[in-house]
Formats: sequence, C-alpha cells, structure tokens
Amino acid sequence: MRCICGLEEPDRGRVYFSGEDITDVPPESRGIGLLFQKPVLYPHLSVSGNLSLASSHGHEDALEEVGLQGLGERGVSRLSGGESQRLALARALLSDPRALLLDEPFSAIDADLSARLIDDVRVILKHRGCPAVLVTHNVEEAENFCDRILFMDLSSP
Amino acid sequence: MNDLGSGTYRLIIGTRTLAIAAFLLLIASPIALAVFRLIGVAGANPRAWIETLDGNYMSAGAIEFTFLQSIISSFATISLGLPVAWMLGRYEWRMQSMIRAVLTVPFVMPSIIAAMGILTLTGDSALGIRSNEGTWFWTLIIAHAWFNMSLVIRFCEPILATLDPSMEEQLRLLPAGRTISGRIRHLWLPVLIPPLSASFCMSFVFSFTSFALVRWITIRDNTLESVMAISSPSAGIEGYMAFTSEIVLASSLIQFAVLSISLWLASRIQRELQRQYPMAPARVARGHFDYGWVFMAPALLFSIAPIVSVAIGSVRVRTVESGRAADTWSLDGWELARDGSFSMVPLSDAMANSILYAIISLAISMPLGYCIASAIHSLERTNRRMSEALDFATMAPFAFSAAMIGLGVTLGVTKLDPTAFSQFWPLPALAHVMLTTPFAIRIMLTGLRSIDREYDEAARVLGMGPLARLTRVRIPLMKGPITVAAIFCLAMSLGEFGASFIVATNSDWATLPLLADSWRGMPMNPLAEAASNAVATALAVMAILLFAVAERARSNERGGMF
Repeated sequence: MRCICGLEEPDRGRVYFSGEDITDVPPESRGIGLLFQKPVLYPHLSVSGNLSLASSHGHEDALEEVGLQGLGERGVSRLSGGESQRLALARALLSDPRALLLDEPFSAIDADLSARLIDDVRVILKHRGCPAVLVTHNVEEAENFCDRILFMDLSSP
Repeated sequence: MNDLGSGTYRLIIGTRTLAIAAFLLLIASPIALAVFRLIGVAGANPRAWIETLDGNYMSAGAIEFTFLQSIISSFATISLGLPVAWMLGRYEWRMQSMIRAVLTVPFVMPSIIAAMGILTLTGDSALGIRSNEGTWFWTLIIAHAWFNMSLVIRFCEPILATLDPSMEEQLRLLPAGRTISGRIRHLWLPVLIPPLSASFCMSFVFSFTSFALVRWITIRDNTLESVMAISSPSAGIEGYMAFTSEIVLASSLIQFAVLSISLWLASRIQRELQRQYPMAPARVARGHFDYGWVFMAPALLFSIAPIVSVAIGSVRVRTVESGRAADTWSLDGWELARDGSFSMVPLSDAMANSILYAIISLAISMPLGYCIASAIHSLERTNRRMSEALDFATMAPFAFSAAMIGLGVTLGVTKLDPTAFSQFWPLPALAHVMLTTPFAIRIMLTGLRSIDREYDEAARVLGMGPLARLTRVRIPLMKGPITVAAIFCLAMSLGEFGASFIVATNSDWATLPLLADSWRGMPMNPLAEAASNAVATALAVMAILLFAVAERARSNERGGMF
C-alpha cells in the first residue's frame, strides 16, 4: 500500500494507475489518498485546521459528510477514536483523491463503532465514485466493505 | 489500607516539611541577608543604583553590552545548532550515540575550560586573532554558541528523530504538504518552535550570566555578571566605596528581572505551544545523506576543538626571545601545576577541594532535592495551588546568577559570623548547594511525574506501606533520573566558577576552576599558560568521565533536562 501511494519504492515491479506508470511519480503528485491505521491528525491544529491542509474551503460540508458537523473549532486531542478516524477520512476526501487507500483504519476502534464507520465510509465513497483499496485482517470487515476481495495467503507455495 | 494516620506517613510528611524549611534556610536566607546588607550600605533607591551602574567607569555600558551579546549569542546558537540537530535527527549515522555525545559535551564542560580552550585556539599558536580587539566580540559570540549549541541539539534532536514518520507522510499526500515549504510551514515549524524557543531562552539566560568567558575573552567589556564579580570585594562594607554596593544591587536587580522573565517565557512557550506529537511506534528507519559528513565533520571538530586545544596547550610552552616566539613540548606545565608555587596551591590540593565540595553538594542536594520533589509531586494531586507555589519557589534560585549566590554566601554568612569567611572551609560548598539543589529538584520532579500512577496503586493493593513503596517501587523506577541528578550535581559543583570566584578566590580553598583561572592570570611566567591548561585538562577529564556515566543513565526521553 505504501508502494502504491509512493511512500516506499518497490524492490521490483512497476505501479500502474489507470494505465499510467506512476512508479517514479512522487507521492505528493500521485493524487492518491491514504488513511493510516491510526488517524494522523496534527495536534497544533483544530479540526478545521486539519481540514485546511486538504482544502481551504468546503470544511462544513466535509464534516457533515462524515457526521462531525459543528466540531470545526474543536481541538483534535478532544476527539474520540471514531471521531478522529472520521476526521482523517473527511480530510482525505476533501483533497479529492483519484483513489483512496485504507490501511486497517477500523482496527483501532471498538467493534460497534467500526461496523457503523465501515457502512458510512462505504456509502460516502460509493456516492463520490472514489475507488478504494482496504487492507484488513478481518474477513467480515472486508465482506461488508468491499465489492471485490483478494486474499493474500503467504503460507501457500 | 489508608496511609493517613500511620506513623510512617507522619514521618514522611515531617521529613518533607523539614526539607522545605532547610531549602528556604540554605538558599533563600543567604540571598536575603546579602540584599539587606547591601541596601543598608547603599540605601533603598533602585533608580540611584541603576544611575550609578550606568554612570560609573567600572560598569558603564555593561547593560547594553550584556543585552547585545546575549541576543546575538542566542541567534548564533540557534543558527549553528538547528542544522546539526536536523542532520543528527533526520539521517542515519554510523556511531550515532557517540556523535550525539561529542556534540553535546560542550554544555557539561565547566565554563573555565571553554574560556581556556577558546583563548588557546585564538592565541598566537593557533588562529592568532587574540591581539586584535576587533575580533573579541565575535570570539565571545562563537564561544557562547559553542557552549550552548548542545542545548538546541538536546531540545530539538529527540523530537526530530522520534516523530512518527506518518505525520510527514500524511502531509505529503495532502495538497498543503506537496511542497517542501508547505511541509515546513504546516509541520516542521509547529513541531520545532517550542523546543527552539525554549533553547533560545535558555541560551539567552546562560549568555546573560556568562562570567568566565567574558572575563577572559573580551577583557575590556563587562557583562552585569562580571561587573558584580569585580565589585564584590568592596560591596557591603559600611562607609567604604558605597557605589560598589549600588552597582551590585542594580546589576542583580536587572538580572533578576530579566532572568525571571526569560525563564517564565521559556516555560510558558513550552506549556502553550508544546503538543504531544505521536512518537514512532518502533525505531524509525532514517535516510542516508551522502554528503552528510561535509556538514557533520566541521560540527564535530567545532565541538571538540577547544577541549583538545586545552590538552595540547598543557604540554606546549611558548617562549619569546628577541621578539621571536618558539614552542617547545614538555610536561613542565603539568609539573608546575602539580607542585604549585608560593601563591598557588598544588593541583592535588585543588582537586581534593573540588571533589570534597562536590561530595558535600551531592550529599545535601540529593536528599533535599528528592524530598522537595516528592512533596511537590504529591501536592499536585491534593493541593494544586500549594504545589504550584512550591514549584515556583524552588525555581526562583534560577533567576539568581552564580555571582549573586556567591555574594549571598559571602555577605550573608559573614553578617552572621565574620570569622566564618576565613575559617569555615565548607563555605564554598554552601554556594554550590544553592546552585545544584534547584537542578536536582527539577530533574527528579520530571522523573517522578513520568512514573505511571498505576505502579504506586498496584503496590498499594499488594499491601505495601509508604516506606516499602519508596524503596521497592519508586526509587528503583527513579534510578535513571536519580543518577542523572547526582552526576549533574557533581559536575556542576566541580566546574562551578562564578560563585566560587567570589567566595574562595585568594583563599586556601581554591578549586580546580579557580586554580586554572589564577594560573592564567600570571602572564610573566612562561609556564603559567601550560599550567593553567594542565589544571583545565584535569578538570575536563573529570567532566567527560561524569558525562559518560550520565549518558548511560539518561533515559531515552524526548529532550528535557540534561
């Protein structure tokens, strides 16, 4: 996943996106968003400040889309785990990525919340028509979220 | 089991109260006595004190010079230290911990070694710029930057090295972080401003109170600290040169105000701007910088050059015959330092005095510091306001310079018993205790705060009493901070110069820094410079050994105290 978005160079092989070889394109120019396992929020910025890193406008709509309306001025240290991950998602979507990579973003939150968040994120991504790749160890999570599932089993020869 | 009411609990409370009383008696009362005595001689008119300070030939221009050199020194320190901290924190280096230790060793060097080292480096045998008055000011700035550069490295490098890399990776994937300037603006500046501001303030404080370096490098220009030291022999004497008492009072008043504001500002900036940035979950894989040594090698050379030059200077004897200088290499300087002279104590005596004073300081500062740190820590949970007041009171001595503390001991103690000044041999140790105890408190308080409260609670539910928890839980968990505090007390006491200069100069209680200073002050003796460097080398070896022990004990935390 880090190779796809350009944060790491592949040892071998090439990375293609929509037929275009993007292996040598720096991560900041690929237009691919990434949601980390633990939401990466900048503690010196408010909720709105974190969103401003993606775009200077459309914050309220973005927050409303993920169910965080009215929290723009709140400090990120006062957000719960689920709220933090929703904010990270809102920020990633606000930058209007060509595709979104999700690196086990639901694993650090409790089961109930994660189930709700999976549904919400799926709806939002579908609504926007944004292709996404989710990496997870949880089969149920993958089945609920994905249209296509690829199993990677390193024990196979 | 509730501890309240138990005999052990009452013993702990009693010990802490006693420690606070001892702190006030040992640290606050000498300063208060000295101030009252100076006011008794000079009168209680602060405006007149400052006018005398500004108008007298001894101290004219000291205020401007002190501020100017402190501000420029602090900027120079940041300019030199930040690139080094960045290189060290962001890239992989072979022998990383060794490089870090070498780069930060200047800060633990006694100021007299820095002064002797810089003098030797800029002297005729090396750069040859000592005789040019135009270079004095900038030499002082470079010397302060050398001394304080490690502050910037210690404050900034840990956060650069341990910051979760996903913070930058995430930013690179967002529009605002696609350019280097965007990443600097949105990530690196907010991350670095608190440690940079704190190191700027601390660097300003150290440059503002610099004495040994100013005394030897600029010669004609004085800081408020050196003015105080020069004026101290005649200050506080009824009917004799009352203007010196005014100069001392004005200098200490300005210093107290400026240092208080600087320290307050440093702590406020830290509190307001410091955010808990996520640390990397495991060791960060850092990149390689192919030409990194082009930057790092000069930085390392800069860090060790004054210390090496002191060692080289101890075996080099310069003689001038018929206007031509010649260097010879011998151990004559060491032999002279070892044997002493009519007016100089032998090296072994000064070393014994230094070690003895360091041990006394350690024996008093450590238990006192631990008890007070424990009192503040437990009050933080029960009486927040009281803990803040006590915390502030223990930080107040930081706003007094070493010279003022020396004067506090000299004038304060002699007011109680005039014979003590010449007969009470542990007198210099009292000044050292006044300087080391606040540091011991800060280091141990940080250690106590870092211990998870659950450790203590788990021990309680296991049925351990307060004493058992202290000896079997707290002290073992505090091993690192206690060792660092102990080493710091020893190193500070061994290298202390400003206060000792006032208390013990011209006495039989000379310490190693005073002996190095005294030998340097004998220009007619061709071996004096080598003897001075020999004493400074002995002191540097002791400081490096202590530093090596402290480095092993220092917990792998982000920045903070040394």
